[in-house]
Formats: sequence, C-alpha cells, structure tokens
Amino acid sequence: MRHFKLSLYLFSSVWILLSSCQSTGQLTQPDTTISDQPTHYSVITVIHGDSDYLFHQNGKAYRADEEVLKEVISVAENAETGEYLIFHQKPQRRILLFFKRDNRQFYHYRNGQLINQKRYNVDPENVITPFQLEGELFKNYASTSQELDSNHFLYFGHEIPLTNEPGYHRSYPSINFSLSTFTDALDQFTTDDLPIFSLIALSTCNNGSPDMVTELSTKTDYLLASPQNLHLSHLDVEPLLLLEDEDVRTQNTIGKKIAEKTYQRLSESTQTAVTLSLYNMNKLDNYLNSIFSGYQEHLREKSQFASENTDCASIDTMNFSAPAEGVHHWYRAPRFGSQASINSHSGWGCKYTN
Amino acid sequence: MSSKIIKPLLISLFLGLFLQSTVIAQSISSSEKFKAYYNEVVLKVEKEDDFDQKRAILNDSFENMITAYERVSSMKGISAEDQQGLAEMHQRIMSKLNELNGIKGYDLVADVELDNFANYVQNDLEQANRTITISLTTLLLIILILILI
Repeated sequence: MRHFKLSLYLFSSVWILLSSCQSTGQLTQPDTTISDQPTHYSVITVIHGDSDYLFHQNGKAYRADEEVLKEVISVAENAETGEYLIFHQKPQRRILLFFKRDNRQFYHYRNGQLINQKRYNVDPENVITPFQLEGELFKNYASTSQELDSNHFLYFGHEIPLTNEPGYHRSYPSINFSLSTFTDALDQFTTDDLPIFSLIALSTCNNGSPDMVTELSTKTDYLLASPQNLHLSHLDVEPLLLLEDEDVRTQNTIGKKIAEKTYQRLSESTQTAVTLSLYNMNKLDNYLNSIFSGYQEHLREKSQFASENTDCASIDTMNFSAPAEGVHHWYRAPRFGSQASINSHSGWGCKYTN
Repeated sequence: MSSKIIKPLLISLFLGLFLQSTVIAQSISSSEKFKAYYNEVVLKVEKEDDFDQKRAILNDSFENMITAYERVSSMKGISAEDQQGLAEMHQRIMSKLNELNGIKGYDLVADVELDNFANYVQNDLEQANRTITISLTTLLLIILILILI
C-alpha cells in the first residue's frame, strides 16, 4: 500500500509536469530588435494535419503535413526579404482519454528570422468557420509595411469539398468546411494595401474545377491547383525562394515555377496521373461565367456525383469548351488503369453525376 | 537499491509509458493502419524475385480486401454512407484485380511491371483527396477481417 501511495505521488508529479507543458501562451516573444531590412513579399501557409496524411515512399512512411512544415520552415529561414506566416493545424490529442491537448502551431518568420512561435487553442463552441483563429493571428502579427509588393497563400490539405462534409477536421467535426466557407475565409488574410493575392496555391485533390476557379477569380491573380488527384507528397515549396528575385515577383511567375518543379518530381516518383493547372484570372475573366453556369447545370442534373474528378472535356453531356487562353496545364497520364492511354487534358476537373 | 524505492519507480515508469502509449495510439488511425497494411504488400512484392509469386501476392491481397469489404458490407448496422464508401472501394480494388489479370477489357500487367503496378495501387490509395470516406469504425472492421483472413 505504501508503494502504491508513493507511486501515485510520483505519477502525480509527472502529470503536473506534463500538464504544465500544455500552455497555449506565446512561446517566443516578438523580437523587436530584428534588422531594418525591407520586407518585400509575404507567404501565408496553412498546413492541414488534422486527418490522415500518411503516405509511403520506397517503403518508408511519411506524414505529409510534417514533411511540408519542415520544407516551408527551411524556405522561410532563407527568405531574406520575405515574411512567412505558417499555420500547422495538427490534431487535438487526448491524454489518458480525458485530457484534451491542442497542438496547433503558428510560426512567424520575417527576413529569415523566427520572430514569433505560438501554440493556439481551438474552442469548438466558438470556432465554426475555417481559419478563424489563423485570421486573428494574421491580424495581430503580419507586417503592415507598405513595402510589400506581393502576397501569396498556400493551402496543403485534402480536397476542399463542394459542400460541407462534417469531419474534414477530425478533431473538430463541427467546423463548417466547404468551398464557399474556405473562399470566404481567405478575406481574413488580405489587407487594404494588398486586397487580392498574387497567387493562391491549393495543394489538394480535385480543386482545379470551374466552381473553385470562379469563386477565387476575384481573390487572386493566379490560382495553382490540381484538376484531379494530387499525391500526398504535395506541391514543392522550394521554388518560393525565387520570390527573392524582384523579376519573379513583378512578373508573377512563381506559380509556374512551383508547378514545373512539382510536375518533374511527381512524374519521376509516382505511377498515378499528374495534373496541375495554373489559372490566370485576368485572361479567364471573359470565359468564367459560361464555364461556371454550364458546370452548375451539369451538377443539378442528378442528385449524386462521383467523389473523383475527371477531365471536364471528357464528360459528353457537359458540352465543355476549354477557354483558348488563361490556363497553363501540366499533365502526365497514369502508368496503369483505364486512363493510361489518354495523353491530353483540358486542365479543368469536373465531377461525373450519376 | 532497496525494493522500497525500486517498486514505486517501476510502477511510475509503467504508468508513464501507459500515458505516452495512449497519446501515440490516438494518432494512429484506422485509415493509416489500412495504408500500412498495403505498404507491407508492396514491400513483399518488391522483395520477391519470382514473377509468378509477385502476381500471387498482389492477387491474394486484392482478393482479401474484396472479401473484407463484402463481409463488412453485409453486416447489420452499417450506415448508407459507409455502404456507398465500401462500394466505391470495392469497385476500385476490383478494377485493379481485373487489370492485374488482364480481364474485363484491361491489358495484362506485364511481369516486369509488377513492382510499378504495386506502387501504382499504393499511390492511388495515398492521394490528397478523401479517398477513404467510410467511418473509422467500419474501416477498423475491415482491418480486423484482413488480419484474420
């Protein structure tokens, strides 16, 4: 009995120690002594990890969100004139089944230096829209410098669904996450000086679609997305370092650089199809209304649609006509399967209805 | 060292490990177990030199998956959404089985392509969509059956 009491005492001590690690306060105070170097561009990265992101390469297991986080941090550390706001939406954990522990992390780099790092909580009672807390952190910490000449938003996750599907965030199923709530939430990351993004990159499956492109047409100059499936190893972020070059920023070629690098890697390392599209919103302006209304009509025809996207041009009943300009796409057919012999793609992904 | 100190230390250590394992166990979901199961299949195929054996490993694994989906699907209490998810996965693996054996309109996967085909199926399961749309409980049933087959 004495042993048990002593054990309980020791265990309680360990427990208190562990609990004290659950602070959600600021872990790193803002460093006001950072250099006076100008900050020319910003990159906002939201990495969703609150779901199954396991993938294998050469037999070895990786977690997609953890891998992307490492890569983005490495880029941020080398971005001498850039600002990076990185949000890692890790799953909530329960310790001994009862005690909840939040693990969402915010990293803030400016001119290559980590100036803020913070763990933050999600209160499911009050947080019902995507990026509610991330938006608040952006407002509190992002630079208000008028020297910023471009802004970029990157999202890494699973397909952003057409309609709300509870459970996208495994720990917080009540968060309403759909194409419209996602696109509305992006307004939290813009400023009066830069009201629309230079580039939005969606490292997800099936979001290079008429509805997503239309929804984002007033929010970004360029959209990089995958019309069909994208392997969980995600988009490459290393090309973001090219934003240090003023020409890349003024000509807004960063989306193309990311797509080219990703296409090359995925073509070499995977056997499934590689589909990436870069949409130039200014050039698509005249086409989007007809593409969007045609797609909506197609979706309305039947109550159910397939979970996978297919090339819009391959759906006979849609009479889809790809715009002559405004889309640069990269396509490699799958090595196996019924699509293996199809070597062309319109650059747009649509859902079959049935 | 006296047992008065060692025993409490051991018990505390056990409790600590239990606590830690509970945290880790949370993070390993059913869908991840399913991916890990198929990764073992890929490793077996790549390790095997004999083409007939490679094909047999893939055939067995696909047939086991199909059997598991069918058994779970026929159980009482499976929701309509899960039934739909199971049907999608069933169809997905069935098409891979057909392609492997060159039936139902598919060309036979060549012997020298079997490693790549095993990886193709793995890549297909590990995309940034929500391929596995069935509930974790139902997926756990599938994994249990796969282990028992």
